[in-house]
Amino acid sequence: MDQRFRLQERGGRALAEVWGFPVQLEGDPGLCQRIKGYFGAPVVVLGPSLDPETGERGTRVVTLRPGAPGWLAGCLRRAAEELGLRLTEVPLSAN
Amino acid sequence: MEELAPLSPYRSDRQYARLETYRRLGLPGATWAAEQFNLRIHVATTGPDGGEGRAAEVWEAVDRLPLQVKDILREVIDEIRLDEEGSFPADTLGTWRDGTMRINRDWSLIPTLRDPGWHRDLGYDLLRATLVHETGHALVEDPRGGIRLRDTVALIAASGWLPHPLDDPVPYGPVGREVSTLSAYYLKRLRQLDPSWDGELSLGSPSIPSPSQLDRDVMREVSTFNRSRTKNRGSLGLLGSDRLLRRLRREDPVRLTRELAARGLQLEDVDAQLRRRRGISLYAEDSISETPAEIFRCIHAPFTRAEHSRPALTEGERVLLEPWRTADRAIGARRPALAPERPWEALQLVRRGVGRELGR
Repeated sequence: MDQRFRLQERGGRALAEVWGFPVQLEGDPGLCQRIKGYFGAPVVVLGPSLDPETGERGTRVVTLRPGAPGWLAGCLRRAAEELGLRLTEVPLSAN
Repeated sequence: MEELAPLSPYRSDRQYARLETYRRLGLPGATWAAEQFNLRIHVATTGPDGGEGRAAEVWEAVDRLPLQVKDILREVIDEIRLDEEGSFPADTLGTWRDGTMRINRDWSLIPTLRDPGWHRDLGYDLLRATLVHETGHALVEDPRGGIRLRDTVALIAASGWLPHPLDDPVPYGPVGREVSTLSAYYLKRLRQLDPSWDGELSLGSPSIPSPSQLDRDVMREVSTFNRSRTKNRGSLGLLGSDRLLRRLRREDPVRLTRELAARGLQLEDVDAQLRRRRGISLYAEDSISETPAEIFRCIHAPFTRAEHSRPALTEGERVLLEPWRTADRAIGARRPALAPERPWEALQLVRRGVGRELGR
């Protein structure tokens, strides 16, 4: 959970930064409050599958538990889509 | 045209009739699949009821596939099997191998998918995504054809897989600025590991190592088992950009900066390169040979939910779509789709205007 994300209203000034687990938020209080509602559930993504016995490759669903790598990004992607926010990641060198 | 054929090995010269046309004639979906795509269907009779309904959903998903994916399906897939849930590893939606695509017919038995909220995360048609993903495997691994390893490696290069900069700084310099130079470098390294990696052959060719070995040779770690097998072989040590970023962030920034400087790099250079080649999505982070398939899905359904993915998407598009465009220009317009093999009914459809769907 060492990524840091920035969410910004499209056409607005409200800005929030999110990182860590437990999740830390910083920025516009109203926006932070709206984003907080998206941290309650697991995140489901598609991933590759490989049957070690047959070598058959395929597609499977993967549930990311809270705190797992990719979970925070998944929550924020959902928040960004539903709240109409622009989601970007804070550069490595600015961390 | 012959010279361009290898660039687009599965390009068809025909359009495809719509499923709806067959349904209006009272013809089953399996007939549509057989006539338009040379596909056989097998529906497992064991498991919960509803296999036929599931088959209908599969045909509807096939009908909505992008044209280029339909071309691959027609040429590479011989049979679609709707098999029972128990015949798949846990949580698996579908698989492909040697001309057979297997779809898990009982997704309702997958625990994750019982949660009605799952679709909010995935955000797209799951069945369509599975079909395209498996077709992507076929594209690079088809033993009867498939794109050349050189092109597969170019897709890997375009899709954001990079080594840790302290292990191999070369891709962070001038070599990494263009997909062509980066993929040529990766291919050269692969051939140093194993000279049998021939860039002119496809990944499914019998005279080239297996897709699993590509995973081992390209990635440092696949599993503990594979790591123990590859420790003496070496590896390109490529990581998906998300995973690499996470690893870099865990390191001591002062020490990292110092060690990068010893290799002629700055942290900003590394960050810029990682962002330029940002992965397409979370989909492709676990296994390198999945990556072309995922890119393939994205370029034919050109939307992405993470804004930072766009540069990689653009490069992947250039690598994979350009051969099709080139071949399309050379081959010219597609001929009309084959009409259903019931001429009287088809004629009636044409008179009612439905025949326009067949390109007439």
